[in-house]
Amino acid sequence: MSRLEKLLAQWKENPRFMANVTRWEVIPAREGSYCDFPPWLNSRLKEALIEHGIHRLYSHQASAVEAVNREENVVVVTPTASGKTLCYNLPVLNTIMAEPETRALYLFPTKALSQDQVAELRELGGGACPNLNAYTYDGDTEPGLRQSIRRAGNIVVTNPDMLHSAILPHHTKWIKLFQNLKFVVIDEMHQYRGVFGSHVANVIRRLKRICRFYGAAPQFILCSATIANPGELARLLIGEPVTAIIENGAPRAEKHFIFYNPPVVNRELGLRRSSLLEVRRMAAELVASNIQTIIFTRSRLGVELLLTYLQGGLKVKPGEDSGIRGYRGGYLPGERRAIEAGLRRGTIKAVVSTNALELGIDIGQLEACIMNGYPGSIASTWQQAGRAGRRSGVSLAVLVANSEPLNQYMVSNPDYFFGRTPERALANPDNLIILTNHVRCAAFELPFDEDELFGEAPVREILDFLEEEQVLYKSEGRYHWMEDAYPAEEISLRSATRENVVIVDITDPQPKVIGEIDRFSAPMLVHEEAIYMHGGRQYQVERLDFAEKKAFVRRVDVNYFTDANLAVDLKVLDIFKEEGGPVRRAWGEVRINALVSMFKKIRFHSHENIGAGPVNLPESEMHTTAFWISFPAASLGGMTPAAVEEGLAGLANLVPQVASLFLMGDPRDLRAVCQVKAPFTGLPTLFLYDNFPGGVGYSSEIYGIYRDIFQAARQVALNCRCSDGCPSCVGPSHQVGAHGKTHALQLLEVILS
Amino acid sequence: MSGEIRSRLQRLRSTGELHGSSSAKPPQPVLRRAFLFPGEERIEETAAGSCYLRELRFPLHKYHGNTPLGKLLDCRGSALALPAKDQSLTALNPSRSLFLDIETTGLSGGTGTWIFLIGLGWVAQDEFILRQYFLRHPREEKAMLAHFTGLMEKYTDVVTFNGRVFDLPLIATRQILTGLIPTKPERHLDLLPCSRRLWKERLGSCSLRFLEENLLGFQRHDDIPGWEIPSVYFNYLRRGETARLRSVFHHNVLDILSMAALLTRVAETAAEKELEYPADYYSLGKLYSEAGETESAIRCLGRIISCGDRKLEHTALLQLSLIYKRLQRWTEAAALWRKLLERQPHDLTAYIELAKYYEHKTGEYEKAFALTSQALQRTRRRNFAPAAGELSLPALQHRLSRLQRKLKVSQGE
Repeated sequence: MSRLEKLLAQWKENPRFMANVTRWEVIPAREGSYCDFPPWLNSRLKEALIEHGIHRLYSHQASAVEAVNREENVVVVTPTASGKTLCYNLPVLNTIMAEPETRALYLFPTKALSQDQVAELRELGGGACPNLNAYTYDGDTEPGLRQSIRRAGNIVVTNPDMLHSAILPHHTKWIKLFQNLKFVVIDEMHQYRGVFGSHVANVIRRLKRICRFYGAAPQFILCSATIANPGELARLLIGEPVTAIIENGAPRAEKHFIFYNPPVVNRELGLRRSSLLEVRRMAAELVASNIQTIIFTRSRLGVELLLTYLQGGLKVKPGEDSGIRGYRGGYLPGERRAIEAGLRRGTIKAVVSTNALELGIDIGQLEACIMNGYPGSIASTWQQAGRAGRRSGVSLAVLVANSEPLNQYMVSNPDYFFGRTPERALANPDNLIILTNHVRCAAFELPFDEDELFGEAPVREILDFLEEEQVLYKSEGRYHWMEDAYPAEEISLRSATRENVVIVDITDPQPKVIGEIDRFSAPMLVHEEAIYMHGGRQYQVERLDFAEKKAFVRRVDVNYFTDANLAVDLKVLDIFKEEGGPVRRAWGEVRINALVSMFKKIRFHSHENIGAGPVNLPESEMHTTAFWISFPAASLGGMTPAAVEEGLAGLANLVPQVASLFLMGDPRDLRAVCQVKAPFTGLPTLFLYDNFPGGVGYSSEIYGIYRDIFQAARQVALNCRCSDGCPSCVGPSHQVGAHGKTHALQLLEVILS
Repeated sequence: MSGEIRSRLQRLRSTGELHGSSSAKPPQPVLRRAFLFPGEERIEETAAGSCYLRELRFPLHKYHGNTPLGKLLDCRGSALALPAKDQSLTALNPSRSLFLDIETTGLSGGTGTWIFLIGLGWVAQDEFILRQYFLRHPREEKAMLAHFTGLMEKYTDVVTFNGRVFDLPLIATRQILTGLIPTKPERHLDLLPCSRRLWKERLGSCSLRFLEENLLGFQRHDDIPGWEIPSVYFNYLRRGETARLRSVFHHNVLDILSMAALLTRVAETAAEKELEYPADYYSLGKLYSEAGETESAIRCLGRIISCGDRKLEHTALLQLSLIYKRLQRWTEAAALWRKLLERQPHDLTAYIELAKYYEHKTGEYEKAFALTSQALQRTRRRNFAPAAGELSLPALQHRLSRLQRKLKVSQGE
C-alpha cells in the first residue's frame, strides 16, 4: 500500500474526521486510449517526439490533429496534464516544415504561460526544425528584437492585451505575419468569458478583419478547461464553426475526492471552525507522510499564512530546506521556474498557491490536492483537483468548505457537484459599450465600408454615431478614422468602461499603482476611510480624487473591514422578454443610479459593528441589463407588506451568491435590488442586474434558468443551521428582520410552486 | 429597431459610459475648397486620380538664417558619414538628395494616422525647389502617394529629421494601406541623431526649433505649434476652414529649409570647418574614436586639452588616455593619467588606470598600492553615491588586497 493509501485508511477510521465528511467519492482509474502517429506527419517531427519519450498520441490528440489537417477550426477540451499543447504544436510545426514562410499566432492570457510555451516549442521543434523562429512578443520583449520578430518570427507568442494595443493598430509593420498567417492558437479559452471574453471576441473580430485585408484566412485552434459549452464559447470568440473535441484519452489513476465541512462552533451565528486551520492540519499530515501535495487557497494572504504554519510545523534544522513553497503571480519568473522544476523533480514536497497554478503550467503531477474554499466554479474545482493524479497509483483531492453560502451549498449538496456538468461560460461581444469601443479601434486600423459587418453585427449606427462625434469622417461610403488619438490605449480588455479609478499606494516614499477599479464600484470600495484589500494586504483609503480617478491608499493592519451602504435606484428602460404567470419574470435594459452615503466598520470574525462614517461622493449612473421577478398580490397569500419586505431583503442577499453557481462568474458580478413597490411593475420586485455597463449576458441566462437558481437558493436557506438568518444564507437578522429567513423561504415557495 | 441603437448610444454618451471626440465644434457642411496658393499650386493626374501640389522655388543664394542654400553644393558625403555612423553615406550627394518632412493627424504612427502634407525639397539647376503635396480629401490619398512615390524613386538619397522613427515608417504604412508597394530609399540621412552626436552635450536640446534658433540663426514668428496641427486639418476637412491651414504649409516650408541649412552645418562641423566651440572638437573626437579612426580622434581631442574649460579638458584628457591605452601606447597614456592626477579630479578613473598600469605593465606595486589607497580614501571621504564597477568601494578594496598580497610576495615573505 502506498503512503497515501495508508493515510486515507487512517482517516477513514477516524470518527471525528468522518463526521465532517459530506462525501467521499472514489473515481475509478482509467486506461489510456492511444493512436498511432498520423501518416502525414513529417518524419523528422516523429523522430523528435520519440526522442522526447512520446511514441503514440492520446486519442484526443489524434482527433484534434486530424481535424486540423482537414482544415477545420478545433476546440480541444481537456483537463490539465493531458498533452494539449501537442494538439496545436504538431499541426503548426508540421506546416512550417513543409512551408517555411508559414506564420502562426499563439495567444495566452498571461506572460508566464507564453514563456513556457516558447521554451517547449524550441525544445520540440529545435531538433526537427532548426530554422524555427518562435518568440514571445510582449511588454518584456527587448526593443532590438522586436523588428526581427515582426519580419521573421514563424510563431509569435503573445497575449490579447498586446495584440489589442500594440500589434493590430500597427498592422502594417506586421505585414509579413498577416500575409502568411495560417494558424491562430488560443489557449485557456475558458478564461475568455464575462467582460474579458466580450473584449477578446472583439479583438479577434479586428484580427480577422485585418487578415482579410492581407488576403489571409487562418485556422483557429483553441484549448479549454472543462466547461458546459465549449463549442458555443469558441464559436462566440472566433465567429466561425468549430469542431469540439471533448474526449480525453489520457490515462488516469484512481482518485479519492473528499468533501469536508468544518464543524459548527457557534450555532446562533452559524459560525464554523476556520477552513484554513482544517486545511493546515490535513496538509501537515500529508507532508509528514512525504506525499507531494498542492494546496490551493483563494487569497495571497492565505498563501502566506499557510506557508508560515506549515513551515513552522516541520522541525527543520537551520540551513535545511523545508521543501515547502508558496506560489503566486507576484513572484519573479526565475523563482517560479525554480519551483515548477522542483515540483517536477520531486525536491519540493508541497506548494501553497493561489489559483495562479490552476492554469496550464507544467508542474508534473502531484499526489494530493487540498482546496481551501470552493474555487468559485465547478470547472475551476475540477481543474484544481486535476493537479493531483498520476498515471498510476492513487490520488487525493479534498475540498474544504468555508462559511460563504456558495461553499455551504456545494459541500452540503455533493450530488449537485458530481452529477452536474460544469458551468456555461458566458460572454456578450455585442455589449454596446464594448462593441462601440472596438469599432473605434477597428476603424483606426482600417476604414469601414457602409454595409460592412463587424463579426456578425451590422454596425452602421455605431459608425454614424462616431461620425457625429467627429471621430470618423465619412466619404464615398467609407468611414475613416479622423482624430488625433490612439483608441486602443484608452481601453483595458479587463474592464467594461474606459474610466477606471487607479489605486495608488503611498505608504513608501515612491508611490506606486497597485490596482484599478471601475468607476461604478469605486464609491463602494475606495471611498475615503475604506479598508481596501489587495493581494491579501489591507490598505486604508486616505484620499479619493474622484474627478482625477485616483485613490490614494496606505498600508494598515487592522482588525476590521468596511462595508459601504449602497442606495440603489433602478429604472427599467426596456423589456426584452417577459412572461406572466403566478409570478412575473422579465429581463431587459435598466438604468442604475447608485449613491453611497455612509459606511460601517465591521470587526473580523465577530462581525460587530464598531463604527461608521459618511461618504461624500456624487451619484453614479450606469446602464446595464437586469432580470426581475415580481409578485402579484394574489400570489402572496396574505403575507403582510412588512413580511414581504423582509423576505425580499433576504432574497437580495442570498440569490446573487447562489446564482453565481450557475453563471461561472464572481458573485460580485451580479447585484440585487429589491423594491417593495417597484415603479415599473407596481409590485414587490426583486431585480438582479449585471454589474457591468451594457451587461455581459447574465440577465438573459438567469431568465432562462431561474427555476434552478431559486431551487438552489431554497436549499441553502433550508439547510442553513442558523435560526433567523446569517451571512451564510439570507443575511444577518439585524439586516433582514427577525423573521427574514422565514419570509424569504415563503417567497421562494411562491416562486417555485 | 435601427433608431433604438442610436438612442441607446446617445443615452450611454450622456452618462459618460461612452465617449465621443474631444473636439467641441459641431461639423458644418463643407464648402468648395478655396484656392490656397494661387500661382503656386496645380493639380496632377495619376492613374489613381488627381492630387494637389504646391511648388516654391528659391534661388540658391537665398539665406536661411546664417546659411545660404547654395552651400549644399559644397557638402561632401564623406563628412556626413561620420556623425551619421553610416559609411554608405560617403556616396551621398546633398545636391542630388531629396529632403523630406511630413505633417500628420497625430503622432502615434499607427494605422489611423494620416499624412496630409508631404513636404519635399531638392536642388535643381540654380534653384532649391520646394514641393508640398496636400491631401485635399481622403479619397485622393492613393493618387497623392503614387505621384510622390514616382518622385521619390528618382532619388537614391533621402534626408529627414527623425525620419527613421517617424516619417519613413508612416509613409510605408500609408502606402501599404492604399495598396501601393512600400518604398525604401537606398540611402537615408537622418539629421536628428547626427545633430545629437555633435551638439547634444553643448546645446542640451536638439529639437529642430532649438537648433534653428541657436545654431542656424533663424527665428520663427507666429509659428503654429505642433500640437495644433492635427486639429487644423480636421477643421479644414469638416468645416472647410483654410486660414490656419496656410500656417501649416508655411511651417513645413521652414522645416525643410532648416533641414537644408542644418545638413550644411553638420557637414561643415564634421569636416572641422570654422569650429568655434571646443565642445564640437570633443564630439568629433568621440565619433572618430568610435569609428576606429584613432589618429583623427587624437588630433581632435588634442586640440582641446588646454582649451580653458576645465570639465571639457578633463574629459578630453581621459578619452585620449583611453585611446592610447587601446593602442597600447603606454607611455603616452600614463603621462596623461599623471597629468589628470595633478588636477585633483573628482572622477577617480585616472587613479585606477594608472594603478593598473603600474601593476600589470611596470610591476611597480608600491606605486599601484599607493594610488589605490588614495582612491579608496577619497571615496570614503566623499558623501555622494558610490560609483559602480571598478570604482565601487568593494572593487577598490578587492584591488587593494590583491596588491597587498603581491607586495608581500615580491618582498619575499
